[in-house]
Parts: sequence; C-alpha cells; structure tokens
Amino acid sequence: MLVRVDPTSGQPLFVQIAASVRGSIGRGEVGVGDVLPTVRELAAALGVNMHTVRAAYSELRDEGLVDMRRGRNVTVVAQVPGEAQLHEQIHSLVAAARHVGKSDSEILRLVQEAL
Amino acid sequence: MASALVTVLLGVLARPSMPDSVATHFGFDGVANSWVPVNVFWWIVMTCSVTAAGLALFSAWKLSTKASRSMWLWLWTFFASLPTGIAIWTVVTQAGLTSTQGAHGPSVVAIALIVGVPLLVAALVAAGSGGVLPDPHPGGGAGLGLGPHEIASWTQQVRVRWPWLLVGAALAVAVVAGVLGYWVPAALLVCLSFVAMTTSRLRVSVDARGLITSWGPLGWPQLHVPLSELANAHAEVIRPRDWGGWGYRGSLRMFGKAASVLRSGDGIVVQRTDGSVYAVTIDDAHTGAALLNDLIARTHAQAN
Repeated sequence: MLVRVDPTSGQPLFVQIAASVRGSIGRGEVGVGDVLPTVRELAAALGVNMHTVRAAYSELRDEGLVDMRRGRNVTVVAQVPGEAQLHEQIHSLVAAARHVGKSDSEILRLVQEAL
Repeated sequence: MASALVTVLLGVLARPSMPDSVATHFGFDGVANSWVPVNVFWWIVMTCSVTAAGLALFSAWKLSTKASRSMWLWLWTFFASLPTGIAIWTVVTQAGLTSTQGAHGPSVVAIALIVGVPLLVAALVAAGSGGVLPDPHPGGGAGLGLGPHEIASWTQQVRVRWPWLLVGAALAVAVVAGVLGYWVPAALLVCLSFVAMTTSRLRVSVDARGLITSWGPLGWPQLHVPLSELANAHAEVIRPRDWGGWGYRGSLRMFGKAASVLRSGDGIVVQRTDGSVYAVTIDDAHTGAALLNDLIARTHAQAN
C-alpha cells in the first residue's frame, strides 16, 4: 500500500493520509481482510505524529472501511462504497485544482458551473 | 580440492595405524554405539569428499553468474572439507587403539572445530573465487514522480501457509517427546517451529528510513538498508535458484549478495553503494522499487 502526503499542500495531513488509504482500497491494491500497517508503523514510516495517523484511521473507521481491533491491528473490512469513492474523487479534484493555483472560491464557482 | 586430497592422503597414510573397526556414532552419553569396518569408513569419507570437491570445481567452471557460482562453490567446498574434518578427528582420537568399544564421542570444542573449520574454509574459497562481485547490473528502474515536498511510504507483505503445517507438526512431536522425557529433541523441535514460523510472512516497507524487510508475525529478524547506502532499485522476477534457494540466502558482508526469498515471482532488487546486491520477493514490486528510486535520488541530492 502506497501512502503519499504533501505537508505543503495546505490540506490537513490526516485528511491526506485517509484519502491515500481510501484510494488504495478503492483501486483494489488492498482488499477486505488485509491488515494495514499499525498506527505506530505508519507514523514512523511517514515521520508524522501518531495522533495524525490515528485520526486518519478513525475517519476510515467511521466510514466503515477499516476496523481497529484492540487499537492495534487495522484491518480492511469493506470495499470502498460509492459514497467513499466520491469523497476520494472530490478530495483529488480539490487537490488538483489547488495544485494549478485555483482559490477556494474559484473551485466552488467551477463546480457550480458544472452542476 | 586440496581438502579432498588431504582426506585421500590421510586414508592412505593412516590406514595401517587405524583399528579394524571405527566408532562412527555416539549416544547422548558420549560413548560409541555404532561401528563400521575401517575400509568402509575410508571409502565413505573419501567418496563424499572427492565428489563434493568435483562438484565444487564444476560450479567454479560451469556456472554462468558469479553470484550463484560463489554460492554453490561455498556449499560444495563445505561438503568436501566436512568429511576431511571428520576423518582428521577420527584419526587423531582413534589411531593406535586396539579396540574402539569404549571410544568417546567428540567434545563440544571438537564438534565446533569439525564443523567450524570447513565453514571458514568454504567461506574463504567462495570469497576468493571472485564471487564477491555481483553480476553487472542494468541500473535502477524508473521513479514514481514524487513531488519535492511529498512524503511517501510503501508497505507490502507476502504470506505463505505451508510453514504453519511444519510448526504444527514440530510442536506436536515436541509435546510427545517432552512427555516421554526427551528434553533435548523437544527443545530443538520448539526452536525449529519458531524458525518455521518466521518463514510464514515477509513484510517490506519503503520510506524515508530506507528499505526494511522483516520476517514472521513478530517482524523479526529484520534487515534494514538505509537510503544513504542504496544506489538504485528495480523490480525483477526472482527465481529462487538464481539466489541460492528459499529463506534468507547469501550474505551482504561475505558475498556481496543476499536475498530474502519466500516464493518465486516479483521482487525488488537493490544495489548498495558498495556494489553489493540485495533482493526480496514481494508483490507490487514495481511501486516499491519506483518509490525507492525517488527517495534515493532525494537523499543523494541532499548529500551533495
């Protein structure tokens, strides 16, 4: 599983981590039953605070994607449902828009135009 | 080869002073409990030694890749010199005896010498064969296109089921042996099952710390190669026979080539800055190798 985050992007790190993991689940790189790195392992690997990783995993747990058993083993329990996939797509759309220098109001205007 | 020669010479020279039957097997109490006629003993050690020496020569001449050559050369040299060690020990302790009825087995020190010296000889031969240099390398593969501020981590694991069968069987036999009072075999079987357990899983992570390979459910043993020691990485199909078989093969320090092999198939191959090569079998190896290349490039750019 590949996790990529950019601390300079302005988006909270935990949101980026969650999006990255969600993406891996959505693309089928990790499937139901697979064990993800523990909070400690992922925090050490990325060089970020354990709270940040825990917040990311908690978000995924609230979406019903992963199960944090005994606060240690993180297991994938569900395939990304439509809703979560959409969240991921919106996140990447926002990230891509910010990447090319769009302000938040400009992004909203563009989305509104598309509606 | 020299070792086989020593065995043969020893056989010819020591033959007259040897007793008619040689003690070859010893009970746990250290007293001989099995004997063979001296001629049979010499034929066996000579045949083993000469055959292994022949195979060592064959390995040195015929094997195409340097690394597999040094690996096989190591193995066969060991098997050529082990009979020599046994023969020397037998001659030293049993020559001149009229009866080997009460002959005593080797002490711990003697066993260490009988096995240790051939190990050392084999390592020296393999290292001296030029096998220390890994095969020429095509260079690193492509990167992932990591942004300058991006942080990334990649983790992947491979599991195999069969070691658990071995663990179960070994533990079952250990319990039976323990109940019957055979403590030493029981303890050895428990150790064996622990070793088997570590070969059930291989976990690889690639991040700012470098390449970390850890075995088994406990994540131990672990091999860590920092980014600063890495030159490049690429994904490759790993064939166990090219890397010396399954498990942790070779030695980075001794042969400049090592591999963690759990199955055949995709794997990451890295070259270290000292020229040595390390391979590990893992799924989705392309992603891992690509991320490694990006991280290596970043580390070397920072160092300059």
